[in-house]
Amino acid sequence: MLLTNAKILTNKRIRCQADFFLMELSAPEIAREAIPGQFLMLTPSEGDSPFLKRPMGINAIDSGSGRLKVIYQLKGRGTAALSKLRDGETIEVLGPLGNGWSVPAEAKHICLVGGGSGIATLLPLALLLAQDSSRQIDIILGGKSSEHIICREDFPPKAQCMIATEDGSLGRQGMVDLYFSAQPSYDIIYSCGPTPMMRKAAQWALSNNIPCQVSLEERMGCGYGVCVGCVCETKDQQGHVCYKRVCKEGPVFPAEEVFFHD
Amino acid sequence: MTNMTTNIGGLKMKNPLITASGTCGYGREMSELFDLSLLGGIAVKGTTLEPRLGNPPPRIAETPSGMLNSVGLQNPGIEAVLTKELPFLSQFDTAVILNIAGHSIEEYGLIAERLDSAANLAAVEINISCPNVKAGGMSFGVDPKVAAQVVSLVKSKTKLPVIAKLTPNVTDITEIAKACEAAGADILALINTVLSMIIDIETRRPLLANGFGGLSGPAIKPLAVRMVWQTAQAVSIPIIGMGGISTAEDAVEFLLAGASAFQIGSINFHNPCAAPQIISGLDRWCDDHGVKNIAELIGAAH
Repeated sequence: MLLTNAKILTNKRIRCQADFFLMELSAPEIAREAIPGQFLMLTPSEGDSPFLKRPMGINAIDSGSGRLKVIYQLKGRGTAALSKLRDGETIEVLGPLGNGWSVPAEAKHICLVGGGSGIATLLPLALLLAQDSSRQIDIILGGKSSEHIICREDFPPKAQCMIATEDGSLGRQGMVDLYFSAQPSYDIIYSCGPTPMMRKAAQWALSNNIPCQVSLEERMGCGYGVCVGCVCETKDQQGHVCYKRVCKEGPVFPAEEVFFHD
Repeated sequence: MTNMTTNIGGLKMKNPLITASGTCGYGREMSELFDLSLLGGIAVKGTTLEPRLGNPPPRIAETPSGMLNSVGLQNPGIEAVLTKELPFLSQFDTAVILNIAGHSIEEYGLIAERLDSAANLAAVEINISCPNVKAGGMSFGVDPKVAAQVVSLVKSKTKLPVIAKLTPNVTDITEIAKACEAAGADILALINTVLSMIIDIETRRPLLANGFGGLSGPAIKPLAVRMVWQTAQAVSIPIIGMGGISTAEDAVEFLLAGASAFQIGSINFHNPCAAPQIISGLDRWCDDHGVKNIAELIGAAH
């Protein structure tokens, strides 16, 4: 983890109606350390307003060129301020943060379930998984419309991509669970997206005894573990309930640890 | 180089900057970013007798120039803090201050009597802003008599310098300050967060799960400066000022108002390296203004 001033190489709108933006940063020291599933805290403004940094999942890591990408959707004051930054300006970045996805070596048949800006966080995982040619990767992406299915052209060509949109403008009309087969044979399922989607993916995985990792999103104060603001309720194997920090013990959790109410 | 040595009420520090309780954990995370030995002191997370789960989320929310929090004192309890957390900090040359909290007067005493066994504690800071469960949940810190009882009990149980951290959620903070001074407090720290609320207009419900939260950040700075000023006129024990400090200039303002040292809190979230930057900024400011010893600034605005 380090705090650095990164140069903004690109900051542009990539979806007109869904308001997604892509920001590419030059931050060589962070890029060297980062692994898929980790995130950055970006400072939208040097002043008091907005006061807090904004967490952004890492969408691409190029340790060779020292470049990192994040994709964000315009939602409030923080992302509005971020969207106004121009190419060539610098931005304060803290990272890499959080634990990242963990990949068991023996996992060969793998499914990724993503939605919204969560799709962006699954991309570096898919690219990492695809480095092992013996792996078979299925990717299920969902969103309101084709505009919400980001990054689909960047996923590894060998992966099988299945898309569901609510309006039917891309892939099948409906939700991701259209593709949830009755007897899946995956070794592991990963999910990042809106909570209801992750919950469905987790239920599908766990009811079939398949390990599942989910990446949570939460309001964050600091992003590096000191404010204890971004907690989620967790339950361990002994049934012990406690609050864990999404920024530090997460954002990736075993699904059964965070969706235990289901 | 300005002489920044600060020696107040038995608490010795190389400079007057302390990172505030609840904004720096037990130091582990910040130590990845800078050398904690640069700090005058570190006030570690509020500790209770037993482990506390804390409040359900959402616990924090951004506000204009600040934030609200309602963490609910999530902590592993005094035993784990003494055996698992404090030893980590012994490698740093900084004053370690343990912030303690309780739900009854007795609980403060039971924690305080454990502290003299810790090798590397420089002081104990009493959080009297938490609710007194036995007294219907009213904060200890709003009643001068109760605040004094807590201070004198803690004072009787430990040899460490005792800092009373005052809540601003009172009509007259100087009354509480005077009561704590009379009860034997060595130092006062002020202000804690300001009781506040946000309502989510879409759900039509309070945004924080706990309903209320404590406001902190630059938004509360003028309120804090005013209270430090008033308290400095009312007591003769030293004051640690805090509330919205985010720059060296803000710190100077608190010193001029009568604080002998200061804490930085929410700014640690906005900028994790704020502490070393404010220390070097303070040194530079003093150089530029012909201040040879930081003590020259204390109360100079009165």
